[in-house]
Amino acid sequence: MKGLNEKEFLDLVTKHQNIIHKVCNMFASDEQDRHDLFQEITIKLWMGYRTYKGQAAISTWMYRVALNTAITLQRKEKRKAETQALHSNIQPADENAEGYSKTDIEMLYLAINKLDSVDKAIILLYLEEKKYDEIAEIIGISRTHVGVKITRIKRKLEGILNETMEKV
Amino acid sequence: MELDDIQKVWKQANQEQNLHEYSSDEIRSFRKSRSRDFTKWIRNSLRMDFMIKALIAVSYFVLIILFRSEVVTQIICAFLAVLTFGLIWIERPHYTKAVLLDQSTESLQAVLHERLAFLKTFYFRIQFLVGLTNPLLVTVGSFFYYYTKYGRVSFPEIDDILVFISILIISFLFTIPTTASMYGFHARTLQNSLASLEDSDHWEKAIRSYNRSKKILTWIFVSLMVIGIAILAFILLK
Repeated sequence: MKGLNEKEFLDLVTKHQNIIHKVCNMFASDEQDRHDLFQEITIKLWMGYRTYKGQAAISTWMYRVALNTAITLQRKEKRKAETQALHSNIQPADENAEGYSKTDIEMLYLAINKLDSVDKAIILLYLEEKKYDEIAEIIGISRTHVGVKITRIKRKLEGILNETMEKV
Repeated sequence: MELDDIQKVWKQANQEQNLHEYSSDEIRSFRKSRSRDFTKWIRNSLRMDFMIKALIAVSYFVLIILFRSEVVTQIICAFLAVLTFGLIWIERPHYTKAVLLDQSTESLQAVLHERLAFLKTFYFRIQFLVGLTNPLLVTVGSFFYYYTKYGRVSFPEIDDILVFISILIISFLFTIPTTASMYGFHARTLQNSLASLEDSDHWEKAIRSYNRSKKILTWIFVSLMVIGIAILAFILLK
């Protein structure tokens, strides 16, 4: 790794760390797991920094490495934690001007938590308002396939949300 | 909440998140920390194996000097030393492959395919090559035992040779349950992700086929164990 500018790398990760946080929140179930995943993603970013030549936007590259790490680093004990909520560090207001309550946010998170890891990755990029072309570049499928996947995931979410609302 | 609103709900949730911002120093310490990826585990075990094999090879050279009056033993030791170095040579590209896998920043689909291909080809080869270290270690240990106790290698009777070969095979097979379990878990995880990503039943079929062969192998393994114990009990109680 000689010759790589560590300071440049650290500045980059510090500046764009919200991307890593978002991925960690989506894939890790508790504070310790989030911390571990953040650490692992940082290691992978550093390892991949050697081959990053600026051909993709920095956020695209970071999302790609972070999501690849989160999906491939699944450990056996992680399965147990799948039902745990991933929103422990959110302290939403009771209701805002748009009318989204704490319950709305919790329900969205709970529904997302029930998706499989690939669907979670795609919906995260969609929620972050990434263009279909960028999602296709990160995930490695065609733009059309991205559209189809998002429609299906939204349908799944709708089903889960309806089910949850009926229970409530 | 309408489904079309989920982007807005998400935005609000993120605005209200109370995230701990890491400092540059904290991120530096993360960068330097130990990875928990299985490729790192493979690289570490290969590095350890290189060292053990190198020590074994050097020990064989020491044995060649110690057994200077026994030509047959010297030839065997020379052959095993060359074999051990040869195994290190064969293992080297596998290590490089694991490093490249770690540095990959391809798309998710490409990375999943790369890792699965690595598991299907390199992983078993690596475990086979690493597994060979145990019999080499047992052999070198036996030679030193003969040297310190008798000062020479006595080539024993057929029964002793059979027992020795059995020990070598058992020492080689020792790591197989862990190897198979790790392979099974990682392969299933990757195949599940690919099945979800590619909307293809190809990977689901692969998982079903893997589960089927796992059941068959478990049955064979358990049956052999039962037969072995029965034979042993018969011999002992006869």
